[in-house]
Amino acid sequence: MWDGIATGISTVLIPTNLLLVACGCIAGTFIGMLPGLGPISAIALMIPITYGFDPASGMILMAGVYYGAIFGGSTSSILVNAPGVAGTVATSFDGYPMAQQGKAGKALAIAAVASFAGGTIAAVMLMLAAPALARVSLSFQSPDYLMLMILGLTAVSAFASRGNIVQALIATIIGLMLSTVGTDPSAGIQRFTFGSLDLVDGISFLLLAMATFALSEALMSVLKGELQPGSKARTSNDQIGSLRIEKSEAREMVPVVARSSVLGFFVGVLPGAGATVASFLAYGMERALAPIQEKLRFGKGSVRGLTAPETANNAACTGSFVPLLTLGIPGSGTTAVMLGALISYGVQPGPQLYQNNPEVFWSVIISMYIGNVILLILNLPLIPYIARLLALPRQLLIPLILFFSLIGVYLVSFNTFDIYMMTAFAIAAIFLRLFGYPMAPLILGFILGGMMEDNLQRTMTLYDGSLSFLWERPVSLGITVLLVLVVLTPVVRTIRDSRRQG
Amino acid sequence: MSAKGNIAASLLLFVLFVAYGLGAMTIPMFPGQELEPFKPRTMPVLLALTGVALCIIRIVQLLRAPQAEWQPGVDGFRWRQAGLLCVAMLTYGFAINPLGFVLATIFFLAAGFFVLGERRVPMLLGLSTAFSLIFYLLMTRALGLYLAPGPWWGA
Repeated sequence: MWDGIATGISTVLIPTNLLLVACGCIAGTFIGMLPGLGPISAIALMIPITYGFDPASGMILMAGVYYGAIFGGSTSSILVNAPGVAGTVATSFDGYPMAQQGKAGKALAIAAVASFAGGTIAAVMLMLAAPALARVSLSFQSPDYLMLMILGLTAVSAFASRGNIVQALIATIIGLMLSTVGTDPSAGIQRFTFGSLDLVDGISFLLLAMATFALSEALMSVLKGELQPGSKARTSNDQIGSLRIEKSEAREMVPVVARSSVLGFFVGVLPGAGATVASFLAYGMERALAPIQEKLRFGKGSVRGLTAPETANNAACTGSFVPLLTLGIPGSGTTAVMLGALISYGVQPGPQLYQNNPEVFWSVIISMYIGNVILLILNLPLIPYIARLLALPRQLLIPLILFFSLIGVYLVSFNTFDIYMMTAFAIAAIFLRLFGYPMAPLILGFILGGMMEDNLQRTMTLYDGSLSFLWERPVSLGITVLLVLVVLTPVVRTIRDSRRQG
Repeated sequence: MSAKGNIAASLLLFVLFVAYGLGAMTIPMFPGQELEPFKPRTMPVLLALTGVALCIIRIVQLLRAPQAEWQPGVDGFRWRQAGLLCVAMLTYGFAINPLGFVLATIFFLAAGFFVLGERRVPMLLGLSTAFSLIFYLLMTRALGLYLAPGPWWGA
């Protein structure tokens, strides 16, 4: 392990890579601040830029963008009560009241320190957990992987559904369907290409990610009329105030950081749960643990209330890398996009990554430390300036986002058909969103589709079309039991609620 | 969205899954492949069946749900602006080869700014021209990427 850590440190500390983490953090902070554009869009926008990079540098940049986007979301939550990403909604509960009391600088500093601490503690946990899990997962076979992917997709659907798992599952199926377009990998037969040469190689992951996230989110903000940056952004920027954290506040933060980091990390490891669930759970837990006097301050500018979600969401971001790096199965929409990027670099994540590409494996982990340090020492002092970008006119910003999305895909293929297809997918994504179908399960389904089919084929061939692997292999059986629980829990809850109402 | 709209969307998805399933049944196979446990059409057929079943569950859910559970409407949405931006994107795709990158990008950005309410000419033309030229030079000179300059460039 120490050799790996040394490799990771030497890779990350190359000046170019340090510069990439710094640029990633700043770019991510800016994109994360814009309401509607979250880490998935931020990372998707970065992929075309990183095509020429070696995999380690590409992933280092993306890790920086990821953390930056989460931190940027916190900034807009605190300053203008407009969370850029869902994972920072809980931050606004106490961050925005603090800003209204003239303590925006303090709130931003608490958020930055809590993010740093959460991210760092979780990175240490990742460093210990990932190699162990990678060794265990070497014993996994195709049936286990198949069931693990089905569990991951179902869990992501259960969490992304906001109350309706059926809609999220439909979105997953659409993603899986799109992954079957192109040439069948096993027999070389064309499927759903309609005779078009442009579809023979299938639909590009980058194209779909850009269309369903960056393009459709930009168009959704136009549809909703979110074109005015608002005067709130300007007034808040002028009243940021001192960034100083008092000793008593620091003492109050320490136990909260410790609890929320552990909670956030484990929630992040679970497929589908991610930063949003972790931040709400940590907020709820701290409120429940707080003495009555402190409990009354929650929602009115409590230091504990701000520290808990900020620590947990960063810890969860780190935790979500565990299934990606060790099993090759992303547990969230963001890590799904990263998986797609890794595959496009020619790197296959999973247990073999630890052995075959230790420099990628360890540099991603080490870059998380560096990313957190950079967020603390670079972003915090720059926040008053970066926050001014919130006041940029959206009528100029949105066409530029559309341009970067389109040209990012075009520069990879130089095929104008991709531009038409992106526009069509963006329109379809808008309609699906309007009817409440989430996009994260769709992109996850698309990315896992090829691997799922591959494992399904091997399983069916190994077991001669029988489903006996479900009870013959203990790992598959365990995952199946978990899968049944994930599916049945919301169903039982719905039935119980309807009986209560009845 | 209205109740009818939600049901219509679910029906549309139902039709999509059925069409996909029918398409899956026509995927060609090599002789003897139909006897194998896994065929190129196995996964698509499974997906179509699951999709159809989920759509039926969704439609039943919608029919049984009280009116209050349906989502809010889309009143005040700026359909025209979003639609025009989509048209601009499609036109950009058509124009990028015949006009070349620089001109097509200038037109696309200026159109985008205009559709979203920008009326200042220096912003409309100045910003889009400066941005397109800088981006073109950065890509072609600094990164060595080829972008079609178009018939107007260097003629």
